[in-house]
Amino acid sequence: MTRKRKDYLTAFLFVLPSLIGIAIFYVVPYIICIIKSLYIGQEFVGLINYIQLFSNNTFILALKNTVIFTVVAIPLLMIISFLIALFLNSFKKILSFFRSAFLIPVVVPVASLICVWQVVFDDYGAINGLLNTLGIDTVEFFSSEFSMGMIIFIYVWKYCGFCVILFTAGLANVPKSLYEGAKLDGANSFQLVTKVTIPMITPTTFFVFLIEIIYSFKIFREVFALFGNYPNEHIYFLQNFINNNYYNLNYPRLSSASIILSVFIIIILLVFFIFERKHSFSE
Amino acid sequence: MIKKVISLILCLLALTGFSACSDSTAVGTKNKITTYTLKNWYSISEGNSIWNYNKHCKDSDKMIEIVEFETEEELKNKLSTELMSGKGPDLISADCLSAAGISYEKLIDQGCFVDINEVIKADTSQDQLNLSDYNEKALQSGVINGKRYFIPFYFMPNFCVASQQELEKYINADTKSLSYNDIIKINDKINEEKSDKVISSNADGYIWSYVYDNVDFINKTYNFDGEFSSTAEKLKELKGTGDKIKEELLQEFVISPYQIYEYCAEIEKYGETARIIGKPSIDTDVLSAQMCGIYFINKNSAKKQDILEFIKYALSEKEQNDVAGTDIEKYDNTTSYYDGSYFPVNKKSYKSLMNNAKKLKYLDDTIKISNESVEQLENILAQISDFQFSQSTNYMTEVGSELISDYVDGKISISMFVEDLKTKTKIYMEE
Amino acid sequence: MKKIIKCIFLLLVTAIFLFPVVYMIACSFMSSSQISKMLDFANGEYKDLNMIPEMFTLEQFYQVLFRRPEYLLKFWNSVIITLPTVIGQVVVSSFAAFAFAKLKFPFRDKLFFIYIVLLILPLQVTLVPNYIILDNMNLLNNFLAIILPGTFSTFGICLLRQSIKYIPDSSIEAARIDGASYFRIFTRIIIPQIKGGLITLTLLCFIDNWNVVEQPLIYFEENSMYPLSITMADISNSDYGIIFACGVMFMIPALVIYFYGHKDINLSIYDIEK
Repeated sequence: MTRKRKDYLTAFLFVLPSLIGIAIFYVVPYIICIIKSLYIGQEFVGLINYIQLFSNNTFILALKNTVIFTVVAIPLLMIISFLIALFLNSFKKILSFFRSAFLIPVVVPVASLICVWQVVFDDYGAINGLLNTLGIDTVEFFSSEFSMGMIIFIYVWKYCGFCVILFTAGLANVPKSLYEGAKLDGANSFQLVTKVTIPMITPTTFFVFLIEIIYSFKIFREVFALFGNYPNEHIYFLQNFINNNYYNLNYPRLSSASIILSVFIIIILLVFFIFERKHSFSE
Repeated sequence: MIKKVISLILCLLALTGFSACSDSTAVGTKNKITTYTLKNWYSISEGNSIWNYNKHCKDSDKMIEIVEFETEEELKNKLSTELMSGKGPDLISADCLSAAGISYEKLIDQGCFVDINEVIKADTSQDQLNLSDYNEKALQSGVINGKRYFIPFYFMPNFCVASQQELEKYINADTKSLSYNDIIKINDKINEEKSDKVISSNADGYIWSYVYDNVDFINKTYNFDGEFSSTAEKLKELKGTGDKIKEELLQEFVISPYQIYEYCAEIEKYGETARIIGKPSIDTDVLSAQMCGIYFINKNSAKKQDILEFIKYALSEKEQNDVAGTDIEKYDNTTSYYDGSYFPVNKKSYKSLMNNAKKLKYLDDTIKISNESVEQLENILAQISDFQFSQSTNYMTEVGSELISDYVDGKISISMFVEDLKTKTKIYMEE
Repeated sequence: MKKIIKCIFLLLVTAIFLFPVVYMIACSFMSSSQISKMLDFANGEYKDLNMIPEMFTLEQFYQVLFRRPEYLLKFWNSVIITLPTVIGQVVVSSFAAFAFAKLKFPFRDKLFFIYIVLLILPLQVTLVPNYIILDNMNLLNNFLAIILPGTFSTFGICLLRQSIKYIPDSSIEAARIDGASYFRIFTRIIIPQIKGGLITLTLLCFIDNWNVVEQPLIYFEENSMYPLSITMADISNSDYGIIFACGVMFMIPALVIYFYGHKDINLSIYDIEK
């Protein structure tokens, strides 16, 4: 056996346990889901489920809300955590307490914080109290467009810590020599950040983006705990749609909606992947 | 050193975890017919029919096993997953679906239930189920889009009893049933009188019925426009009796005919005529009743013919006589509450019930009921044309209840209430 | 001067992040009457944001730990579900991540793309088909029903591949030239260097599985096998005090793991700088 073939075999053996597990528990169910989405009951109907889905107003509403949330929350979280990572880095010495503090929101379970959110965001809660003393009208966080804002706030609050840690790791990987070289060339701090830091941490950014998408689905748990199965129309997400159809036993609709959701994400991923390929420096 | 100790403890825990995986316990016997319910939730009709059937059934393979769940979440998840993956309990009652928070109309749309007509056709036993022996209109409500999904065992009419003279003081009481506008008129006049009267002990529930009546689940339509806002605003003001004992204009919560007769006799004691009238509804020409004992058969079940035996038993004259109480001799409202419950669907049972009501001794013969009242009741019962599900459907629990409570408590305004109702109902219908 | 502003800003940001958690901990020490008064939303006045309990009581913890033994049982169920999953995922993922990051084999990148896609799959997609598969394997009423799919989740592979990528190729080449097998390289070179990544993976995997809610409800048939996360998610609007206390207890194992390994996380970040 040639050396290369032997290498291939070893690599394959390393990956084997993972491959088997993934095949059984993830790939096969996904394929089953795709197949089932092409059926209604027992008969094969092709793409009718998808066409029906797009003419369904509730689905369009859910899709719109999910897109708005994704497009707003993910970049926002990325920018905020990046800035905080830069900020923390600018301290020469920092108590590890401060770094740990950011990780605590991730660790706390959802249910315990529901009450806290209710007290803070309620019509007569803390934030409205503050706004009223400043002369602004009461904002009904629970039943208006600002519900989306509240959910975005909770999302950013919860996962900022983890993204900060990832960005800190990525920032530490940028060689100091590049910074010194740029400073010698006369760059000010703003140019340092934009021309040196951001391109160098592109793989980290990609990874943070991935993590954020995963967690943007998990935020559904908070929405469910705060609002139940039928939240108001501004925060009715695709996950609500899928979940409710689960209890309506409408499996064809549920699977076609999930497939559309995953296709949507795959497209975004492809764009980012190609982007990373072009600008990757650490290959 | 400490790290080593901690690592050791973690390894031990992991090992116990792996060893705990090896034993898996079986659940329930797979032979019997299964049905699911929530602990302590069953209504009288549901619990009794199955228990009585189990007592009567000699073959233990044909008995029905009731599997109880502790929480609603558990029941809901279990039921949906099993039904979707091709399994599930053989017998599913409408009560179980309300407990689980699953909408029956959506399950019907998905074709989860068996067409009972097919099961009846395939029945090869000696005593066949003859559908003309039962109240046709009640049975007709189980037919949706040409398929028969259930046969109701009993019904409760939506009636009120009032004194004709009192009622005429407030409204022109010619219609078969009251309308919501009538209720509003009565309320206004009672407020003008400033007396201690209430419309009925359940008056604060009228707004719930109003919302429920405006939604048609089978045709997927709803109507919250037009005079909905103004009527809802006035209905919000109605108050029930609460803790105090006040004089009620209308008596509700009729369960058995014996109760209706008792109210009639009370009214006649004061020299007035009794009037039986339908509960408030939108269409005043239609009289309605609620169905009880609704059981669906799971499409995935392997015991459809056995379940047919259960249905035959529950519809048989003897069982229906027992539940409706056609053989009791005395009626005392403090002790006889469960002696007669629900109107039977079996025509012979129904006749026996009506005959017994004329012969019964009420409150140790201290109450006498006039023939006119008896005839009135029989007439009006024969005119019921709309048989409905109970109000505790998933729609009311998920969408309606929070909105209505918020509105009645004053947390949201009427315009927000109507708008929210419209959007959420739209989302619910189209999902 | 600039330093003071920076410090104040830092404290402010930290306070925003920690505030809800501190509030929750404070609430867990309050008596039930104070909690119901605090959470009574109907009376239309502004709520006081009391951080300091009126009476410092351990009543809630007492209720949870001693009065209601079922919480302890569920705690152990959570442990039984989470520990094997975490250990399994770390082992499987480190092997596979090494292969994806450093070794070459056909279809490597395309396969990895599929892994990423599987990563972000929503839960409901695989819930029912998994049920069918597990039923056929007779694993339904078994803890393995949650442990196995969790072990093979692709999250660990993506995370560790990131860390392994930063190890310079040169050290691996040098070891190959010295005649070491890939397995040796894996154990001697790679694993010590990605300690930070492993700890991070352990922590995140632990948190994910500690909070699992939908799967036990569906795959387990017995109430006694439910983990604690289900009770936490079942907010029946009655016993907020217990929920606060449970939340604090729930948080503790994750924090323990973090403090056990956080030095490693931070250290490895600065080590790579060399």
